[in-house]
Amino acid sequence: MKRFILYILVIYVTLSSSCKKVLDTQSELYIDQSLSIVDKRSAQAALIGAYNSLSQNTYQGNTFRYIVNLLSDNIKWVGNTPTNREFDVYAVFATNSRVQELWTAIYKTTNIANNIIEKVPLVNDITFNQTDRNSERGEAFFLRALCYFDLVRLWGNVPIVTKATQTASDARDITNSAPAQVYQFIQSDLDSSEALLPATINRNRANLYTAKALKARLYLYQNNWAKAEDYATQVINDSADFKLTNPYSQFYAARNSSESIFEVDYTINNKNTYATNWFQNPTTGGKKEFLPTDDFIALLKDPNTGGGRSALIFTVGGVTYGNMNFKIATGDDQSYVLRLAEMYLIRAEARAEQLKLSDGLSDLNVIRKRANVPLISTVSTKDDLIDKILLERRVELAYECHRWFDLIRKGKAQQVLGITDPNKLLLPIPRQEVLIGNLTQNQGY
Amino acid sequence: MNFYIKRPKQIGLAFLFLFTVILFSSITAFAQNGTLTGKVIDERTKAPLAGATVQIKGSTHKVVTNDKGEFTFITAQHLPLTYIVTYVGYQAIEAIQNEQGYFTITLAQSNNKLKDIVVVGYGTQSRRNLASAVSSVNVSQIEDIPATSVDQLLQGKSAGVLASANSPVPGTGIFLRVRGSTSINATNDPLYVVDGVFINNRSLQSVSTGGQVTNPLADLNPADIESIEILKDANATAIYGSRGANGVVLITTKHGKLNNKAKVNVGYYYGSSSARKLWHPLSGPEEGILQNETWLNDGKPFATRPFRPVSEGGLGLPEEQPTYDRIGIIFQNAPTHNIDISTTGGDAKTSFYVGGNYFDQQSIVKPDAFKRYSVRLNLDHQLRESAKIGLSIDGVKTDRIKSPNNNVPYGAVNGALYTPSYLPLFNADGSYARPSLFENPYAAIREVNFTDIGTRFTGNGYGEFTIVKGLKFRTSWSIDFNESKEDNFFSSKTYIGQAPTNGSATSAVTRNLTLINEQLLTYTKTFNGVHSLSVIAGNTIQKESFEVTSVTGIGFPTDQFSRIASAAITTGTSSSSDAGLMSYFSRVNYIYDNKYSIDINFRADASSRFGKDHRWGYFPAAGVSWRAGQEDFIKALDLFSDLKVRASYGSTGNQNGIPDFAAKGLWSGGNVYQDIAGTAPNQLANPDLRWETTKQSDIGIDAVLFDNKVTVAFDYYRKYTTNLLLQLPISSQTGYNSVFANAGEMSNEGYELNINADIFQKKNFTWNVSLNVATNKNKIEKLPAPIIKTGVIILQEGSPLYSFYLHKQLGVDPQTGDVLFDDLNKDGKVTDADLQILGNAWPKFFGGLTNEFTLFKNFDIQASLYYSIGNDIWNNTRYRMGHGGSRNGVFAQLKEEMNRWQKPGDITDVPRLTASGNNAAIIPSRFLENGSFVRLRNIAVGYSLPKALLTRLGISTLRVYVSATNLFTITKYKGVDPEVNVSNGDQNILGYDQAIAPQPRTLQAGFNISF
Repeated sequence: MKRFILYILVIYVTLSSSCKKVLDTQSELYIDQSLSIVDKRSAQAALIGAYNSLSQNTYQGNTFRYIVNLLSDNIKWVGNTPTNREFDVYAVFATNSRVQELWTAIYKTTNIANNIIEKVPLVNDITFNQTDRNSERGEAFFLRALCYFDLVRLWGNVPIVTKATQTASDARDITNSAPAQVYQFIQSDLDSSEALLPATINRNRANLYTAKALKARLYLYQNNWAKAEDYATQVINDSADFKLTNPYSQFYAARNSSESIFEVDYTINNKNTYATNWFQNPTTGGKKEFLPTDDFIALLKDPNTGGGRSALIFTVGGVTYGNMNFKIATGDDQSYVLRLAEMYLIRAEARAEQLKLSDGLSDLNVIRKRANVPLISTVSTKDDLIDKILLERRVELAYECHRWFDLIRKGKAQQVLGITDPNKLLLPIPRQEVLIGNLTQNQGY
Repeated sequence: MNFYIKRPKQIGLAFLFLFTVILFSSITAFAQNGTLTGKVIDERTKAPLAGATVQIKGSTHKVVTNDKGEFTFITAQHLPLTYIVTYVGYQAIEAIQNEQGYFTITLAQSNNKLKDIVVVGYGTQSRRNLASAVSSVNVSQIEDIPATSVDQLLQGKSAGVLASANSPVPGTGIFLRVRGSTSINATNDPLYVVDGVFINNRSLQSVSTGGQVTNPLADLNPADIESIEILKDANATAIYGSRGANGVVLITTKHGKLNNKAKVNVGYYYGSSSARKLWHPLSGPEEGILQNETWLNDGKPFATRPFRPVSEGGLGLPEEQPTYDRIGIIFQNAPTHNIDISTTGGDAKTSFYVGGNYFDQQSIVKPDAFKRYSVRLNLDHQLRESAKIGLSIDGVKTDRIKSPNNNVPYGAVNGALYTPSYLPLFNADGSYARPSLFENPYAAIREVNFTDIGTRFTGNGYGEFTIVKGLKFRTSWSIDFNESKEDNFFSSKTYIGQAPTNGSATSAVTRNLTLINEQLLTYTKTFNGVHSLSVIAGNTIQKESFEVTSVTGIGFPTDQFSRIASAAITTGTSSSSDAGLMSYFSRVNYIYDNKYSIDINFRADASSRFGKDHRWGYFPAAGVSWRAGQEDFIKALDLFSDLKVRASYGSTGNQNGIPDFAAKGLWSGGNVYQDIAGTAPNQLANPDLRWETTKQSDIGIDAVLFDNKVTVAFDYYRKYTTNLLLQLPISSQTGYNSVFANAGEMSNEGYELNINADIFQKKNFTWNVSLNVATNKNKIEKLPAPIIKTGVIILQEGSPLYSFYLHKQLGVDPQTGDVLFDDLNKDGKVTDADLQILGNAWPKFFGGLTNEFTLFKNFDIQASLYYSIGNDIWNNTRYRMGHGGSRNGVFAQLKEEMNRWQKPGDITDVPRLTASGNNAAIIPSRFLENGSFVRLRNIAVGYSLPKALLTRLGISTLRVYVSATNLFTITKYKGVDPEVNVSNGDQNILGYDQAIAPQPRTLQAGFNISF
């Protein structure tokens, strides 16, 4: 009997010692957040993660381009989900799931950037030299600036979060900032990245020229014409690295063409589904949610405006489809964020605004020449030139998310798109965010 | 003391199991003394009862009668002796033997359940003294239903158990709740325990079919089941502590009986299933008319209407349109075969049950099918009088043919249902036409090869010894290994595999391993004949690991190649996860004079999923019962044969369903950019994460009336859940959109009534009715922020789960044909502020009604109704086929669209056809429907051949039967079946119908023979 009780005791002792092992499970798939950025290699991996976040379908991969293109007058919606239709008719509900997913995706990207900006200086790794640390943080500043640029353009009044989130309460109480403050924040991030980034060309990652190109765009949006001209010129002048492709379609037919300044990279291991919106099977597969609008098709078909850009459409069975993103199976169409043609058009507009009409016109003609459309010999007034540049932007940068913002920037969106309520020029802040956060909804929603 | 310990053999401390086995041999039997013999017979027929248990009262010494009904005791005990005799289906009695000699005991058949022995957590209890709410399911009532899994069989059989099939695909999951839902993100499924061992209920499906997931309970052969008990109140479930909050389903499989000649049972049935009701889309000409009308209503020119003469560049006039039937293509009359062969028996020391099963069921929607091959062995051996060992092994292989389902455009049902009927099935070159967004139904059936082979091995070994009289020790060790291998191939002729993909294949292996060790001490003693005490204490250690490895390939040279090695581009991934659980538990049960009973339960659990400081959860419960029927003043009423009042209160926990590392702050790898892997935040830490706790109170009455003819059980319960485990939405500006947190509270309250009546008990005619009805009222008491699911379901504070949240359609303006929406805030616009809760998917009350008849002893008839009253269904199929966006020739429309508003003065609820404006853009409430229904779940007629005839052939019983399942359904629901749910794996979605085929109507015939 005693022995029996002894056995039981032995069993229990043995089992209790294994108790700790049963309860202290470790994930093999994830790492603890405290181990996320601790040396050079993990810091670099986090930066890759930030680009991956930018490239997600919910951001650059699909949703951002989906929404912004649908808001423009180049694309019309022919799909079946009412949520998506809301963008086409400028009646977006605050509960719209795509608005929410884009908002979430952008802030997810900024949070990784915040982690890098904050933690890289603290990493204790002698192999991680200052040059590498600078370039790592410079890229993070650029990505954060790009994110906030998209946020401010779409929503206007957005919260600015500058610290990496460690607990659920960290950024919870931050409230909306006015657009001017957001632009100031973007400017300062771009200043930092310009100071930190090297002039090494990598068309899929941020470098000195990427920062300069985005700055040119930022100054354009802020009507700082001289600076816009200056920064566009700095990029254009690096003619060793940046050349316009010929023909036009070459910039998207090939990856990382000489014209590209920054394009988000996709491979079979990191796909986007954007192409499925454009086509209907059995042509090439897809679900046909987008078709080019009739007046946009007319512009492309007109030899005076379309030229080489008529490659952006093709017609099958009486239906005209858009034709820039078509790799449905492999999902590796690139997303073009910054390219040289935009720099010429920024400079053309900045010069026109500064009444340097002939310089502006010559920049415009660089683009027209490449597109094989007749050059414009003279313009009568500044407004005439600016109208022509806007039209050129519409055709040249057709599917690259510029049109909607250009129309707003120039105060023409309501008139051109027939929007009666000026509040609809901004998207609603997702309802969930207003409900659980400390945010004020945009007017009119 | 009547035993001694032998010298122990050499032991190895490291090998615990071996150690335990050695333990058996170190205990010896009682000293041998006098012999007592006798037999147990039926009171009415005087036939011997084989397998009855005879126990000497006040000892643990018990034997089982042999096939002649005889028992023998070799014991030192002296006369007079009291025996406790129990036998399933008979009233347990105490018989006193005063004199030496052959002793005959007569048992009377029990007509009510109050006196049965019921299985409870870690033991059995007598139902008459039971202080908890436990339902027993009558297995004989469910054996003729051709269901793949046991959870489906529970439908309508137990008050308070809501079971609803999600789809007609065999072997997929069903929605099952015991007394409502208590959680939002942790599981709401009950705990399943088979022969005392937890059965893992986690689906291994890792390759999505678009919604419906495989059901691991389909691995258990229903024919192996001896009894099913459902534990409902806290007193019954608290012994399972952390896992009992959603009720516990205890399944006991068949075991052999000692001293019983081996018997062989063979059962076979064949069934044929078909669809009860199908959808009715518009014909080609009707589509033409409506699409033209939409075009003109939208102000577009008549000259370019889509259905204009071909000569004008159109699709042809509406009346010229052909109509292609697609729905008929995918449905079939589906056969079911089932063969069960089992043998059971035992000698003086060893008893066994061996059961084999082959089950083959095809779905009424091609090409899905389910096959199961299973073998179970249950072996028990009495080593010594004081030591018993046993082994249960269940080996199962399942073969599934799956296909994309639910709302998946490349699935068969979507392809058949949603493609407008005027569009062709084949292109001019003979290839499959895919003129709309959806897969060609022929291609969906013929060109997709999607298999899932499951292998499951469940093994359990136990040893049980008597340490001193009344004190037993049991240790059990079990392993549950479950593997699923999924392979699919979409040929180049399919939507998914078409050029430029050129064929797509995925192969995945998912493996789930659960190891459990359990120790249990049981002590029972009766003092002075009136105090009966039973105490148990034990512990459990559980470890679970889950792994998935999958590879995908696209770009196959030809369709003859379907293995990933042949593909141009391949990608692969693997992942794994682990969890552990430690528990200690105890129960004290005291009964005074068979009249007053009290239970006290306690369990402590620690889970690896929670923060270090919050791992342990403590779950106490208690129950009391009073058998008022034993009191003289009740007896004087001469109404009750027995009457019991009981009450219980206690708490249980929940942690299942949340991720294994939910409390930790994690970064994930694999975030690829430029083919380099990066890292990114994946989950925010919450070190405060702790157990979700449900407190439940229950008051019940069990009554037996009219001379044991009628039994009534009534329960009222209230459950209150705190620290709700929630994937709590947080401001996305943090970089995360949610965190696992304990936020929110929920309550459930309900009544349950179970009545069982023997209306006739005549020699040539018996009629038994059992009725159950239950209500459950759920309310989310606290929730930090509302959660909206699938656009129409809302979870918000103050409202119940499964609430539908919509714009209310008041009607259609007879003047304009526009939908009139309820403008709640009177701002003249239809905005989010006008959304309101308009219905709920949970029924107001539900239950079942079963009638059983026997005629001339040989005929048996059984009919089971299942009903669900007061539930709403969101008919998304109708919405899809009836809202504005679908009028462009992409989505087919239903016949009801012909009732649209056409001209001022028309009174209808189908608005003016248009692809713009609120008629098209806003989801209206007209697609929310009353989903109440009453269904004849099963009707069976059996004939047992006369014994006299069979004996000559050496057969002991032979029963032949025919049965019909889902023969009719009474409902106002406009969809094809009110029993439907497209949850897409989200447990908070109920009553959502989207392109799901109806439950099959099955006719079957079969026989059971034993010899």
